[in-house]
Amino acid sequence: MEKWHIALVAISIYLVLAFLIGIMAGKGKSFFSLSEYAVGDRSFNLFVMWFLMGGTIFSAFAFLGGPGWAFSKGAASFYILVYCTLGLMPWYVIGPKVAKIGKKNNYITMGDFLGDRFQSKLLTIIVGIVAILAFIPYLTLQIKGMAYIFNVLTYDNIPYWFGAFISFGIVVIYVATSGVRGAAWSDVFQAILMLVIAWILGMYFVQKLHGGIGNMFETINNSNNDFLLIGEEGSAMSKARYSSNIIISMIGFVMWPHLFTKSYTTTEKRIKTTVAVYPIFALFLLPVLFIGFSGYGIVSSDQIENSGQILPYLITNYLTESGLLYGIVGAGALAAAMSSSDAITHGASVSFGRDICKAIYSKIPENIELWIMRGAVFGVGAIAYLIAIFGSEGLIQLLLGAYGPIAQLAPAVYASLFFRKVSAMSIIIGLVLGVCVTIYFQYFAESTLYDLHAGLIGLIVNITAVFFFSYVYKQRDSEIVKAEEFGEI
Amino acid sequence: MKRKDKINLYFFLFSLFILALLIFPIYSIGNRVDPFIFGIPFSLFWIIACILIQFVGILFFLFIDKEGS
Repeated sequence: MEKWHIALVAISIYLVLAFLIGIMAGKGKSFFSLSEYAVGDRSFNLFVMWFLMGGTIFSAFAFLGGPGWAFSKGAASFYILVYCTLGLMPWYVIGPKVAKIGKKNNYITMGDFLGDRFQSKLLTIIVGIVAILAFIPYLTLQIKGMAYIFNVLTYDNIPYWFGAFISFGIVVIYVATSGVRGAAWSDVFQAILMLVIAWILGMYFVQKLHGGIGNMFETINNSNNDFLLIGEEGSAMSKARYSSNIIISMIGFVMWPHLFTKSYTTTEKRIKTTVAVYPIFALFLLPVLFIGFSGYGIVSSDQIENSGQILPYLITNYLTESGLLYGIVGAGALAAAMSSSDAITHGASVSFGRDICKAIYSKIPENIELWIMRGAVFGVGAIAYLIAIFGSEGLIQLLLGAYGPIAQLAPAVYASLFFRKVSAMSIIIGLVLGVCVTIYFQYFAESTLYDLHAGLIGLIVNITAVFFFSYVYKQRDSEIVKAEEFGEI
Repeated sequence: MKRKDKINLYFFLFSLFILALLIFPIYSIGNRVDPFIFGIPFSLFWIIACILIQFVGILFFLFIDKEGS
């Protein structure tokens, strides 16, 4: 039996387990309840919440991109730790409020929440479209990650399209049948698996290639004094860019519609506890960075095509003894990609059903809406899969720009809870302007102001517009009632 | 101001404090390689320390919240 056969068996066992857990999660729950599918009947406990939030964020980017950043950009990769730490903090304040009012008024999406607060169906639809536009590229990246892992670890014996088809196909099926509960329970399994593997790999490579953490960092420091610093001459990132990246992710993190709507899956108290224990998840990310650092000075940058390949390169060249180990590593990397893609696919399906279809034809009965959502899992999944496999590199780069505008939803969410005088019109104008400015600086401008993050410039324009137009366009009577209700929560 | 709103305000200020520690200009204090602590450069150790401070801080807030209810 060749080594890749053993690896394939290990990966297959993982896939079967993930599939079973995802399917079993929905057992005994109502298959025909919209609330169960979308928000798990608002009943998730702390254990599930922690892994759900953690696993969702710990994506293929963290597993492949994290080591790549550490390897090629040094201290700039600390940003990944910091955004994980800070990103969830605003949720401590807004999460319980969103949960409470969501339960009272029966919301299941961000579009529901904002549309009702500002009494504007247009806003609901805009939020739904922004969400889906941002979800598809995110999903595409995860699918590419899955395809890549399969392909590399089986020495090209499993074609690119097939590896992605199998692993993402499993995700689509358990999300469509078990809804958010399927995503949550498979995340528990996937998160544990990838954390264990990340630690084993991190420790192993550091020990084998450098003989310890201290030695490793000293070697790096001796060859480039600025590699482990931000904003120095030999560093990879300026101080302004580093700081503004962190600020924008702190503001934008919980604005991701699939994370925002997790407020509805649990109670107020559990949200606060989840935020409290969340920083621990950031610490678990440390060894992922160590993997990348351990390649520094060992692998020269012309040996790999791009820095994201550092982990697969290390595995195929320095972890050659056992096919089993090899397969387990593959399973860990797949787990990272799958645990993000399930939550995103689910989020996109709910947004499509509720924020777009239901907002346009409000007469759709609940059972049809649920079937639309289940169908959307396959629809969105198919689009993302086709782009991942057949889309050009340029197309994917273009789509990735959809990330930036997500933070532009923040003024709407904060204003809805803390700023009673704000009017629907000002929110819509601010959102549209913010998105346009962000896209301009991302694609068309030669450089951004002071090397700041494009999203931060968009946000400044957005907030200014919200304040200014709130004095131009006054609230309608129905908005004033809602402003009172949301302000009191 | 209601007690709950007050706690939220303090939490907001606490978040800003942790944020400030992790971005420039204050991160300049941590943005150095020496001394190595547990084999880790000071720039990374600073971040880990902030994460721990944040963890303890939020536990404290949870505790206060519980007292109130």
